[in-house]
Amino acid sequence: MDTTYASSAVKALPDAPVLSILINHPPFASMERKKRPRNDRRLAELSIILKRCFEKTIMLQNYARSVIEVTVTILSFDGGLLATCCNSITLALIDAGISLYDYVTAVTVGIYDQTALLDLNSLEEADLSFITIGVVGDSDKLNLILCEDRLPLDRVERLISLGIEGCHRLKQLMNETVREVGTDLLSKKQ
Amino acid sequence: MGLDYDISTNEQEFVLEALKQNVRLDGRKLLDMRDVKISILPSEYGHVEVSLGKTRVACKVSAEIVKPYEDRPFEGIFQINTEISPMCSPFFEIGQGSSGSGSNSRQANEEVLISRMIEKAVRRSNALDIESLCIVAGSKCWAVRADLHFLNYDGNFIDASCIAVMTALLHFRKPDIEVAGEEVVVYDTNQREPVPLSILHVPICITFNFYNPNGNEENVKGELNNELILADASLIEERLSLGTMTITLNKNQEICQLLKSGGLNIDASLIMNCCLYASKLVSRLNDEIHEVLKEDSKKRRNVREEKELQVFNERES
Repeated sequence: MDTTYASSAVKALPDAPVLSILINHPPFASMERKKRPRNDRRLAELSIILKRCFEKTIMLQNYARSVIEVTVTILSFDGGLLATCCNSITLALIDAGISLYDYVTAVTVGIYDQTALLDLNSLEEADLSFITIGVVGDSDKLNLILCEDRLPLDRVERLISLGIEGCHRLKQLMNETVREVGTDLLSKKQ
Repeated sequence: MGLDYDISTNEQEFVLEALKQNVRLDGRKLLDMRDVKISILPSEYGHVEVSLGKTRVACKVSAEIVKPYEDRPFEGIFQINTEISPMCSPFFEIGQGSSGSGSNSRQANEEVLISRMIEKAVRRSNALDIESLCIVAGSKCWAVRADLHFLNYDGNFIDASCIAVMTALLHFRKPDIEVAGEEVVVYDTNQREPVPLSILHVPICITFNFYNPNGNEENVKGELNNELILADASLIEERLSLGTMTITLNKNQEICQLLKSGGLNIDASLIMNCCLYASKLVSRLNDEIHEVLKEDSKKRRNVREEKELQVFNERES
């Protein structure tokens, strides 16, 4: 197999746009004020997941030779970290006027015994198994799934379908807010 | 700076066109896995090498007695060490994954994801019972450490390293000990048969890669759902894929970890199919691991010693 290795230092500014996502978790955000190491692997992983999540949803072809920089600061942590980050980034990108194919919405679903639960708080997250699900627009297609706990395989289908419904509802709410803000802005301009 | 991996346009199109016609470069079907070869080094306990096609990973498990963490006096310590060195492929670099500055390059991302994935699959899912590693609460415990060495890279590090870590943990024997009050006697392996670790379940990772034959717009808005799904991608396939999903299962049909980070949007029903298919693969791999371990223990049996230690003498009738 003939393949070439090129030093990435040569391509200082690539044609393809760069999306960088940084997550801040300041000590005041959670109950215990713990000092976190600067290069927290968990946050690094989250930002990579989010980056990959939006790479396919932003119309990147419109932003050649540019950098889209997203900084997320967690103000108060009570579960659903990845889901909330994902939703807030979607709204922030829309507010910044960056073209997306559709809304990316995410929500956590957990399971207690036989009951599926939508959007867990941090106490529930500590004790129950849960999945984070991200959906693009009104489709049934999943952009993001993250499960870090043990979970019986036969329950997953129900959790995913509940999660998709939750995401669709979220999309409606987000859409309403975006349009409200949009009309408000328009009325001020005239 | 690590090196980037470029694939010529010709080759890219060749691979993708072949995939559309359900052919892969090495002649596999789309959902076939490469043959897994697990070899256990005969000289010691817990040293395993796994090869998946040309991908090769070695894992060495070791244990020592240390003081437990202050906030967890009843638990032992278990660490998985993964550092991808340039030995396996020139586009990995020493210590890049942990430094914040390089975190934007694709290689560094990969390294963080690989190490976190193995960590979550094996450590977070409690595959190793760390409470059983406690010797004297608050003062002495076993610290088990699994060092992963990546020897050659041809795609799918995660699956190979997960199999390697689990086989090594299952194979590892720690020296027998005896506790009398605060005093601990550690017996040499020649004096007393060393004891295996207590493994609660065997998680195995399966990675799927996604490709899109119809273009981006169709994927976001369309209803076709004919994305291609590959299991166990090789290096080129991995580079060209538009999204990956790794699922970790054990033989009790429990998901230990599931991650699909962005990339192509895949219909929920296709994902469920992947999960079910993965569970079949996992039970097969699980059998394979146990087969290898059984074979190894047969080789290690010392027939003469066993005869000497037997309570009954063999009698001629």
